Amino acid sequence: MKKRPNQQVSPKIAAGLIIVTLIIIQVVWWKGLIVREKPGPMRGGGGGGGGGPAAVLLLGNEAIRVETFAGATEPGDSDGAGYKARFDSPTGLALDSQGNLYVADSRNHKIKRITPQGKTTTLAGSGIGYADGSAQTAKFNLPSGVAVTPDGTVFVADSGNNRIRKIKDGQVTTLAGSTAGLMDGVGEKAQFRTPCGISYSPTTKLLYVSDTMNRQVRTLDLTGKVSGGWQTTTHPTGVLAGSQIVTAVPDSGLIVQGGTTLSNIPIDTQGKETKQSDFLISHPVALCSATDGWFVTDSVHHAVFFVKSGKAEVVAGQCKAGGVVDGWHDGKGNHCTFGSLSGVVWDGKSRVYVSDTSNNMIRFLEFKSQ
Amino acid sequence: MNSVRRNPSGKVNALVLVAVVGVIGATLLLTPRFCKDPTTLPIGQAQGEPQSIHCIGGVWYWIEQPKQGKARLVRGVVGNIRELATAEAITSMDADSTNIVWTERSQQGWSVQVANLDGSGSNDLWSGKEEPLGAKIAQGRAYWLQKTPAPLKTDLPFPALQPTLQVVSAPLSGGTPELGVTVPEAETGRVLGLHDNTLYLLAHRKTRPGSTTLYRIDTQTKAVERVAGTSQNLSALLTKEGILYWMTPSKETISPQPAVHVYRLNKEGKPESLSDWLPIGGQIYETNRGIVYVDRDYPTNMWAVGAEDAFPELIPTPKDYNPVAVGEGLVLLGTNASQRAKPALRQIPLP
Repeated sequence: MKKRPNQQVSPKIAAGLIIVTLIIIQVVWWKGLIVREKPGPMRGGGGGGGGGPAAVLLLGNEAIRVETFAGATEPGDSDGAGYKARFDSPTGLALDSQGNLYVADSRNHKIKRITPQGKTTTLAGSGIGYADGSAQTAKFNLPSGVAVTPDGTVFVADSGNNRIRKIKDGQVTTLAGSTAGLMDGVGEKAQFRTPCGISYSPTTKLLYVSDTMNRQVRTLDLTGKVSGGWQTTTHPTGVLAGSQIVTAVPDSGLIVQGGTTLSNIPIDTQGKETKQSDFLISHPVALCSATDGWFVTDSVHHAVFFVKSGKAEVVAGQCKAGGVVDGWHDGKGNHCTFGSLSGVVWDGKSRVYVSDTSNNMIRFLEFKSQ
Repeated sequence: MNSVRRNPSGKVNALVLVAVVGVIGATLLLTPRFCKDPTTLPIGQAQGEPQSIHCIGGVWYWIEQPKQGKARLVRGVVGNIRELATAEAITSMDADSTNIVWTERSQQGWSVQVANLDGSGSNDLWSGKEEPLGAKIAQGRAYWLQKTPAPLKTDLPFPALQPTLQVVSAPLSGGTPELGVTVPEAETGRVLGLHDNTLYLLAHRKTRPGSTTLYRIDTQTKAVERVAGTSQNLSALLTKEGILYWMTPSKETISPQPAVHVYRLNKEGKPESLSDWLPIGGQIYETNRGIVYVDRDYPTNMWAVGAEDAFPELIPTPKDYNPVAVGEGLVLLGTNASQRAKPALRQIPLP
């Protein structure tokens, strides 16, 4: 009769296996900790953004999670919570001191407000056109930019109407602008041509407007007096009023800060070989501040970048050596995908909100903070 | 050493085996041909995948855009396919009971053409450098969309800086084209039809996952209203009675979407949910037995679009034939789904 092989394992071998297994588990766990806790290659700082308390963000895109905050991929026009809301090509964003997010819902010709809990309501607008009056009956035409002052007044770059509009206490008025043109003055004597971006500076108490088709950044006070500004090389879209005025000029690939111009900012590919020309911030459309840099959206890379010291780091989106992937997918920063991005705003704590314009939704990047 | 016993009849057995396998194989290959339904009537061999298919008075019209060579506009009846026009590209087509219109690109540029249904008397309704989009005949006029230039050459996500689509129309008898309203869409679209002074349009945005928007325009007040929007680039239909049907991704599937759901705008102007779970990628057609969906599965199938929450009803087709399109009371069939690019076409009455 054939002898059965001895199936018992000697105690020495068993002990060895257990030790090896424990070592493997320890290594995997330790490595996981490194990945989870590893700070990114750059850090953003507090201040700026929505004016919340200072925070230090871990920017390594392993530490970032991207989620859909409001809206769905289908274009529509509905108020509601989270994904039940519908937008059509949302663009400019602004945050108030209570954490409410204001959205220029461009193709709906409306301004929407989203609470910190994610509930969307229509703040103003009733379809395409130009009409002042109550928030429910006022009309906008492809609004692109929004700004909010500390007292909660909302200002709108009403691009299709070539005007700056004001929303306060449920009433919409025209702060400045009339027909398309280029003219300083007060109220309707002033002229803009397709203004796309607007930002408020609490320091100067002025509004700064990207007067896109006039190739200018214009300044106006809260009484509607437009006085001065400066020329940009081509067509500015994003404007950020911080300690200095920063402008995104997408068709020249420029970010202009005061007298400093950053052009074709290289994107850090972390040593991977790539064609250099493919990896530049070539079309920056909007930006928001962090203490020592900016979060920037670029219209061709379907990604959110952190720009500091003349270099860009991908913080979210499939933009890496080898190609750019668009789409709609939530997840870790380096796994998520975006459509065409425009507005961007930081809450000063742990979230950066972006307008995913072609996906008709508002999304946020949640950072781990220290 | 082991001895090997040779079987003297081994060769014979092998030959018999090969013969049996051969006969079975040949039978399997040939059986479908013998089984083909003799009630199908041959039309002819297409030179490219038929697109934009219409059935008018029992005659089929479609566009073929082969990978190489010129595009052609053809009409097909039982036993005959005849070329009506050729061009470098033919991008859209529509026909009514007397005329056919199409949009084409030639060496001279783009144009909108009109002709009699037999192809005679062709005439330029419009010509220019920009592509006319999605032509449609309605109430004696040809309608199409024309992209207006963007304020900036750079493609940016702000709709205020993007092109728009403008409705253009011209009498079928010729005359100066008339510029109509614009809709805030930047990419592509088509006119779905005109009913009771309301013009319906469809627009596609292509950035993945893409989206589709449907508009209606009051031709008197020029008011533009978006009536529906959906993710993905899906199709829509305006029936002769003016009812708008469109598709959305299925309510019960997640991305990537393998199925679609059909809606229609009811008489009160509210979306009404109809069949769900139709295989994605197909077209909806108006027939004399209602709305029929022809999918693009392999092999293709056609489905009667019915009430909400009812599974779609499969309309049977003869074995080994694949529905390509339906119209009026006829079904256009292709004989081999694997040869979608150049199908041999036949037709049957719609069951």
